[in-house]
Amino acid sequence: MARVRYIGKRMAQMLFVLVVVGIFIFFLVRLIPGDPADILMGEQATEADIQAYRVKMGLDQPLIIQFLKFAKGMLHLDFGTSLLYKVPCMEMVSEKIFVTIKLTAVSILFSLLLSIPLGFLAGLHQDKPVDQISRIVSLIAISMPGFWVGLLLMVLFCVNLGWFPAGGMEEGFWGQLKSLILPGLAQALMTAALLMRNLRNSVIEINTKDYIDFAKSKGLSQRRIQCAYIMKNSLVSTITLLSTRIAFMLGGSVVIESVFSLPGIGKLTADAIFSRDYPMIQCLVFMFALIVVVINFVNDIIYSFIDPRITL
Amino acid sequence: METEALLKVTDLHVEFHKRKSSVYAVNGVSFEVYKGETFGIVGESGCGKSMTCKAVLGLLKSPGKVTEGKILFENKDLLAMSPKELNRVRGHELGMIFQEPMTALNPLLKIKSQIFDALDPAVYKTKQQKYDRALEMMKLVGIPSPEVRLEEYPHQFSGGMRQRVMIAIALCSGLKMVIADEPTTALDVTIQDQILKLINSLKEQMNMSVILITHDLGVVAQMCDRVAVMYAGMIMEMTDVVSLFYHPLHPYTTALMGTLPSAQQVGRELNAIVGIPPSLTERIEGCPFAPRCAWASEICRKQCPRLTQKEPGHFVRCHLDNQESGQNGGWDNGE
Repeated sequence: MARVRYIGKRMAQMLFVLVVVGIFIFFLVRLIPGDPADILMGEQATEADIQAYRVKMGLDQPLIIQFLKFAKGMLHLDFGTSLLYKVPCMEMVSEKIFVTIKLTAVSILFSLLLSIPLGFLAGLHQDKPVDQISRIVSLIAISMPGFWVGLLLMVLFCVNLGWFPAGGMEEGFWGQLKSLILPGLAQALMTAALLMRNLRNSVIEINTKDYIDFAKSKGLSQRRIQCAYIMKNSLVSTITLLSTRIAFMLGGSVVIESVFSLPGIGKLTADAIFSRDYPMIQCLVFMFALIVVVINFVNDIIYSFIDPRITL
Repeated sequence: METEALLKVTDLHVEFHKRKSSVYAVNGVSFEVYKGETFGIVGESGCGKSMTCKAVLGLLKSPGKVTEGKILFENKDLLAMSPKELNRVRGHELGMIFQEPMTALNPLLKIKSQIFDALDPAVYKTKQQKYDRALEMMKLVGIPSPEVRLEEYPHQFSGGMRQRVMIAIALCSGLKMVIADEPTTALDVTIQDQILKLINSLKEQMNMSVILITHDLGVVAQMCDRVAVMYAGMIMEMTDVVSLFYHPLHPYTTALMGTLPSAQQVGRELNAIVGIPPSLTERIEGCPFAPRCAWASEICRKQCPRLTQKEPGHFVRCHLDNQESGQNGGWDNGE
């Protein structure tokens, strides 16, 4: 019962955050220098053409009227028609968002697969060779930006070995997976390194707690202590870090999708910003915000299952 | 009381060696604990009493190591055991109650599963057997509505209740001996008394031996049969509790007694032992208490005395062989 109430409260908070985000999006987008009509109509357009376009797209109306229209549309998840593609924004986004979600999922999977075993191992063998090596490897991984790692991977696996496609999204499950492995890995590397260091430190910290000694004095096997006591307790902080990293990954998708020419919303965002496609930017930023808020929500729920002390 | 020794520690040394520094935490401690008795270990902070007990349970953290000595529990050498054999003894025959009930329970596990974990799987096979035992233990340590409390987490308990829970967990397998490391230091005085009485009654019911580590002489008087007074990683005096209080032979013990406030002293400054305990970062030549001892002579500073039996069952580590030190230990009481 307490948990149902907790979830209800968190959902109400989520809605509030989304409304505030909506307001911010509208006004912030209009602070980007440059006039969309100017950019879209090109150099040759006459003043009259540009004015006609403004009227057509409703850009001539007072800001407050534009905002009310935007707010009304937002309630129906209708963000208007893209200035660039001339189709409803949501149509475009809902078509491409799954590519980005899949990319993020692959990245999360890679980061967890790399960080959990390594972090755990390094933490349990503090200052031993495993720990030292993983410290150096993670330092290297943290220092390399994702797009550069992506390029390196591309040169090695696509150009030289030809194992993976160099860009674009192939058809079918295996095709998609093949297209996502390299960008996913490129994006996961930094997060994996951060998570690993975080997990290692919390394993070391948990290992000095009294309740580990107490568990030993109860005669629990090494294995039971490591799995049920150290592992579970140290994952709490790692989960929180992961959820903030997912927001970073979504931001990173703007770059990674451009490098691997994946047709996701990251690339769409880059294109929309360059052409001052206001409705599209608004729609995309809102979707990003929505994803982040939902992930935080899920994180809180998982958290409340792992750590009984968490309440609202 | 002179029956069979349940635990026999002989010449135990615990040392911490790091690259640049070393700490000699326990320096040749020997004692025996018999069946059914409460053995107290008293001393100031850092005198090695906790380290001794951690060594007994194999809980020393690297770089801490037992460098010398033997620990026999029921004539089995705990130091020579494989981890698996040690885990059979720990928790099922020999257990420990920790000082801080706030930090010694796993915050993420229900009390129920923490008790289940500690139960000997060879004895308690089914879930129902485990549950029954858990319930029985919760009742035994005096926790109201145990069925509900078993499903709760440590943070839902108060300090005193947590200490009871910890005792329930530590003792649930039916121990032969429990080491209680300052079990009441973190608690309110009123709760302290309840917990001590609880430990005493459980000791009777389960026919256990207890090693009680404390720095509180009042607790010693209330609980213990025999006592060892530790200083700088050594046992200075070891005897039954009555002799310790009425007839102490070591100047350090008498000095400790002198620090106890009494009813006649109202309004006067509390007595303290002048000086500080020695640093344990190097081996001490001579008696470790010599710098603070009013009776110290040349030999005290040069040669460390041995723990010798001066009266039947009364062991003292001191060069002084006369009674005068026993009168007031050279201590003027707060003049």
